[in-house]
Amino acid sequence: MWKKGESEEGGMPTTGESVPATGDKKRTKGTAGVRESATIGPSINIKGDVTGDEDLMIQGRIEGTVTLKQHNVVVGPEGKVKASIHGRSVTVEGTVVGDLHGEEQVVLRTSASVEGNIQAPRVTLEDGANFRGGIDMGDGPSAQSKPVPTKVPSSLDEKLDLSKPNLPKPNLAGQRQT
Amino acid sequence: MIRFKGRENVPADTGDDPESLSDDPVEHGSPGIKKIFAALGGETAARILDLGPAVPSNIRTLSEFASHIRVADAAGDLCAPIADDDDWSPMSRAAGLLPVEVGDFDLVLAWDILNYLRKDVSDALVDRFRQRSRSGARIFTLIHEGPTMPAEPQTFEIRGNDRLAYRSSTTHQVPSPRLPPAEVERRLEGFRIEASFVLRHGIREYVAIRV
Repeated sequence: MWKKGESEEGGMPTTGESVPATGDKKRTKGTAGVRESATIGPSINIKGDVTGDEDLMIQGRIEGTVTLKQHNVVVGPEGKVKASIHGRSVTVEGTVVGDLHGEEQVVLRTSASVEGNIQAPRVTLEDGANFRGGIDMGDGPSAQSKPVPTKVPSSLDEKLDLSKPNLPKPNLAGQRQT
Repeated sequence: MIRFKGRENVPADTGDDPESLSDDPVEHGSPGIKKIFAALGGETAARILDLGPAVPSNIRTLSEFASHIRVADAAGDLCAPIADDDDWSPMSRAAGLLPVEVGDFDLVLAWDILNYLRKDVSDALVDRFRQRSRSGARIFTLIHEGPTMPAEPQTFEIRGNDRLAYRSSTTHQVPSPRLPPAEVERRLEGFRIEASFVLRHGIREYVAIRV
């Protein structure tokens, strides 16, 4: 349930307290694995902490935190988020200033603009995505146990998958001038 | 007159004919990258600072060796015009690129940015590199040795384990500082030039190691 609060631009309640993500439910196809999800629409502004137990599509503005650790979070092309986002999978198509924590993965689509740090065992960055910040994939042994992707997104000219099991290893031969 | 942040040289004309810009980057051999990869061989938890923009294939390749990659995309900030209310300074910017909380780095990919920086900015950056690296850490940089160079820092894409693709955002050229090896060594104080490679297209690649 939404907690009572002040509404901005006629949207959802906006407070400094936790706000469960139980807004408008939609079936969203073709967007980063989101099946049935709550949607924060383009006209909605939220200031505070968003928590919940279902997938979330953000097309509006959020300032605060978004915590749905067991679920997928998508910042849509119209979404503008100034918050840290925790999710099972976090996909960004819009703008985020803040840290992204993905239990499984973080994906930055071509239209994404992200300034912050990414922490996830698997990070996918599409060509054209703007990113400035740090990428943490875990230290030492945990880095060895990065999950191997089971499905490669199609229709991408170029994509980056940090688990990339098939990269050629560097040639250790000596160097010479060219 | 427009003042630029830490730039040594600025383009006389920032206008560009989009038609004259090619989408295809120019690919060159890179013995410096090859040497870096050889040095990182077997490493899986290196901490890498990339001063360039986020290039997917670079991050993919570097993540073979890294537990942490910091993408600073420094060129835009270092080379942008200064606003009147801008409190930008070489030291503050260097500190911003290498914040304390991210720990020490094992590799800094400076690409061609040093060609574009005033000496005080370059010194501030290298000083920060020294503070935030341990013995054995490396810097990779490319220095233009020809009379001119692109008016803006280029984007470099690692291809394979010994090639770089150069992508320019402008066709305009500016005079190159043509830093000689001795000056590069001076600017990289605290680091020793481990290897340098003169390339046919007027670039010298440097791999310097923290002593």
